[in-house]
Amino acid sequence: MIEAWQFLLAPFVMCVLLVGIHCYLGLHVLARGVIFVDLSLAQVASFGATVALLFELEHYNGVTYFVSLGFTFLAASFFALARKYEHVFSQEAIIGIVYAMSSAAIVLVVDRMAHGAEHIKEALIGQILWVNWKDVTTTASIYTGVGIVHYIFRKQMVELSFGHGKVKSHFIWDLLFYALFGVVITSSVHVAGVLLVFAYLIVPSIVSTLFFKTIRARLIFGWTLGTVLSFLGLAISYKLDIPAGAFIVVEFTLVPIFFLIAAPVFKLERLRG
Amino acid sequence: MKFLIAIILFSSANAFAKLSVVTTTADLAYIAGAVAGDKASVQSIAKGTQDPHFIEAKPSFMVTLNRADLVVAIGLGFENAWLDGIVKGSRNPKIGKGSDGYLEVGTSVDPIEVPAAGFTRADGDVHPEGNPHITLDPIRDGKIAILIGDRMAKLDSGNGKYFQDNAKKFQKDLEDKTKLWEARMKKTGITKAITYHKTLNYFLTRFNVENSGTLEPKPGVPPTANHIIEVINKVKSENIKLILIENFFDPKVGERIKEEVKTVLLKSVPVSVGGDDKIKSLDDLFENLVKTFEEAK
Repeated sequence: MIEAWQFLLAPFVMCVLLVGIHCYLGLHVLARGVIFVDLSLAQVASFGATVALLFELEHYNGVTYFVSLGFTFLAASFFALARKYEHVFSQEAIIGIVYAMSSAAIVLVVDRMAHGAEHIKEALIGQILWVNWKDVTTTASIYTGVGIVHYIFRKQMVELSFGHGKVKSHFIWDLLFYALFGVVITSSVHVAGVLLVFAYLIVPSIVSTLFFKTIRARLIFGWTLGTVLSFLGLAISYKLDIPAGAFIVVEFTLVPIFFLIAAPVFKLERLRG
Repeated sequence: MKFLIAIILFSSANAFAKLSVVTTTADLAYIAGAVAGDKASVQSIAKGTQDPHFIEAKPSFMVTLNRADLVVAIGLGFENAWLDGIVKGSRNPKIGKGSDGYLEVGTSVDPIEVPAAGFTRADGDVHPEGNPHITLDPIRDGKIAILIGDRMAKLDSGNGKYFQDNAKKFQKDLEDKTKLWEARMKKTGITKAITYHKTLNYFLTRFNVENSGTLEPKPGVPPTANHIIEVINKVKSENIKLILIENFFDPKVGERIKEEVKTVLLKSVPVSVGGDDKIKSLDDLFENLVKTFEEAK
């Protein structure tokens, strides 16, 4: 007999991996003020995967991943390019445009293939429950690679996102940031879906920003919060027998909403003007 | 100018001459095509790779239906979500519900799994009139051919005998083949299988295989962890050898089960004519399913 914990262990470890990289990238994204870059790139990645499926490539094999990654890189370099024009209009405008385009393009593509509706739902809430240990090790190695590059170039990366004025924008470093971001998003979207990835990216980092000032403190808090929420999310969705991915998204996103409403009670210093 | 008028007259006269049949699914189109021979045109709204539960209405469907003499549908609520809309949109009085130009075959072929009274939407996407995947049974396909043949004979009496003879020949041919398939299925000794959705139940029932469970907890509801753990334990305890996943579903869930039970054969199968490149006829479809069972033996 297989027990629930045996079955849910691999998905849980996957969640912890997601928390690890997304909380860190989330801090960058928040500081850069490009919240929707994630939704947008995720949608592009999922569009790429859909196109690969249309050409009858297998579900989620290596080729599908690289097709998807190719699309994401295109969008990422476009975003890096668009940062040049930040003085004219917010980058969010471009990000929004790419989001709308790729979302609608997915609908056009799935019209040509089987079970379109099913596929769109999958792309949104993903399949975190069905990941196996092979998925976990693949994802872990991709994230580790990205983590190492981020660590080597941490000075430039941190300065670009959190810096105040000295380096305003630099095409090559921006490109590297978005490209690495694209690598992470492409692999996480195909295990967790667009919405779950968004929740992992934004929620732990935004809540930690409410309480802490240094990047290190925010990271530790975000990681802890994300891990606890993932555990609760999997356990509760299992107990109630409801879709895990969608439940975790709702659970995650309720947390910052709760803290903001309850801010006066907690007397959160950081929220005052 | 005279020449142009002649072309228009000729082409419209031609359109009157040949019966135009539109079916909702690719399987029905295949059956209707066999009945029609070269004396009527047949086309399907859904492609074989599509799940006809979810068809997005496109303007071209209404144009197609506008010129149709006969619409053949499964019924049993199968096309509920979209067919009414495009039939109305086609502004073609010949094919309205209840007229001779509209044929639902489902209720006439003795549907299985008609639910007991008292179910609600909370039980999933249950069809109150029974399981609508009727074309997955070769014997029922023969009956459907007869129904279509009779209706086409009524609409085009000149070719009536031709259509009805084609239908009888089609039915006889499938009945003969079913005997061979039955023998081969019996030889495999497999009496239980698991599927993703209840798509294959007509096929399984015909060949005395029990559907021991679906990966969906309820029809149309995606799998949950609880349910899949139950399925894994069932596969182990009942020694189930075969999990069939209709090829428009993602096999990922199945792979997770296979990881726990290495002995099970996990197979993604087309469940409709045109469901993949190799399935060009209902014969191909059933042949492929029977072969899958032989592989799992």
